[in-house]
Amino acid sequence: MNEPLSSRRITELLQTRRVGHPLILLDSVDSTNRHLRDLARRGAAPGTVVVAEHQTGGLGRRGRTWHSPRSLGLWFSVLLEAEDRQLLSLMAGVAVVLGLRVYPGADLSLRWPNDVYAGSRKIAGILCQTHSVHPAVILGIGVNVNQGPADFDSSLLGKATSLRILKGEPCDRERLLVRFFMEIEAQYDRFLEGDREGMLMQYIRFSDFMDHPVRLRLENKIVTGRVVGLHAKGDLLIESPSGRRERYAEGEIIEVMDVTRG
Amino acid sequence: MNYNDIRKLVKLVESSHIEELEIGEEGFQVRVTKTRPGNVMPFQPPVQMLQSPAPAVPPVLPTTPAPGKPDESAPALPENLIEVKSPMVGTFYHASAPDAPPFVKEGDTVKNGQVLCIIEAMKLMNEIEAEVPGRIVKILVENAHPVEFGQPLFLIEKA
Repeated sequence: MNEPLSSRRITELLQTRRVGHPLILLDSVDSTNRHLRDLARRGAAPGTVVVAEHQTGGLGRRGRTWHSPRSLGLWFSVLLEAEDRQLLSLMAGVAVVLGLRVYPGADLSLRWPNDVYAGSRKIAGILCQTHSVHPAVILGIGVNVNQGPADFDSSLLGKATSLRILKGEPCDRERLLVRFFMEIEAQYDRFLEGDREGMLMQYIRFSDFMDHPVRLRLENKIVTGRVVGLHAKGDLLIESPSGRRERYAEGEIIEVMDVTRG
Repeated sequence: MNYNDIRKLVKLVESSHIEELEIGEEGFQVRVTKTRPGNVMPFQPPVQMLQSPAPAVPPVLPTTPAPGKPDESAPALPENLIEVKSPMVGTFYHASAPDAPPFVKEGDTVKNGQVLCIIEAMKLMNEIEAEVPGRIVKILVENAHPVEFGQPLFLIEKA
């Protein structure tokens, strides 16, 4: 229980052509995204993955942190390259949901742009980074795997969950990690072939907010309205209570409300 | 995208709660809109094809009227000034977090590769870096404001 990841076992299980080649397994790092960014600057190839047992400063959106306790979750970053970079952010969400579906029974959904929920609690988060002068995109992924209720920070009580809590038993992190690599690679291959529509349709199928009233957190305010659609670039289309429609490319849905209209 | 793809899109919208779906490629854009009964909307063909990409956000009136050929009439920058432009549509952040100090201020000198700002679209954080060393003459966008592709963000005086 809570054993460190074995790079040998991961290599044995690995069936991908690109994602996970090479695979860099670290004991502790400030942030796998930051580490991979430095490697990318020094010429790391697309497909490179950095996994850490523990992150001391896992990155969340807009300066928030991602709680990454030792050997309990999967904290990793994947280096890819693509045009339409922002769609990779949604694509990563689709891949994580598909990977988690190997454990049936979890009521999984995507919350725009790419938070992964099991019921009303967050089970995985994704933060993507890119740079104006590099073509690379880094998908930073954090998945709560083997935390028990007592392993979560008190600020996350009632907000976060893990596969172990849902299943009632610990999960094989190595097998799950390799599964994520496969799903990311499959989505990325389709993406490079130009199949954006298939990914968006899958995204919509997994989403829990379409046609629902939501609260969207922006930098300085919270917007409330009903989600009426998704733009091809991934932007959210929200109708305000007064009937005005706006497109949003930033922020995150922090609450999906029940449909009580009619 | 071909006729069959468009039919698939229409079916997807019909069979879902989605009211509007736009799919775009270079020089080509399809928008599928569903009109709901009881919701009076002006007539709109269910599938609309445009020869050129639609604007990414509702059009904004230009601050100065563009006469004839805007490219030729735009004032050229002095040779030692360069514009740093946004590589994508998104939101401009001058700092890494709402309560963090800004990456740069007007008057600051910057090194090649120094982060100037972040543009976010859908939790993709794009760190915009200085591509030449110099001095920040002007920051052209307010924090947390939306920016367009190619919109100038900073004026830098080359060192």
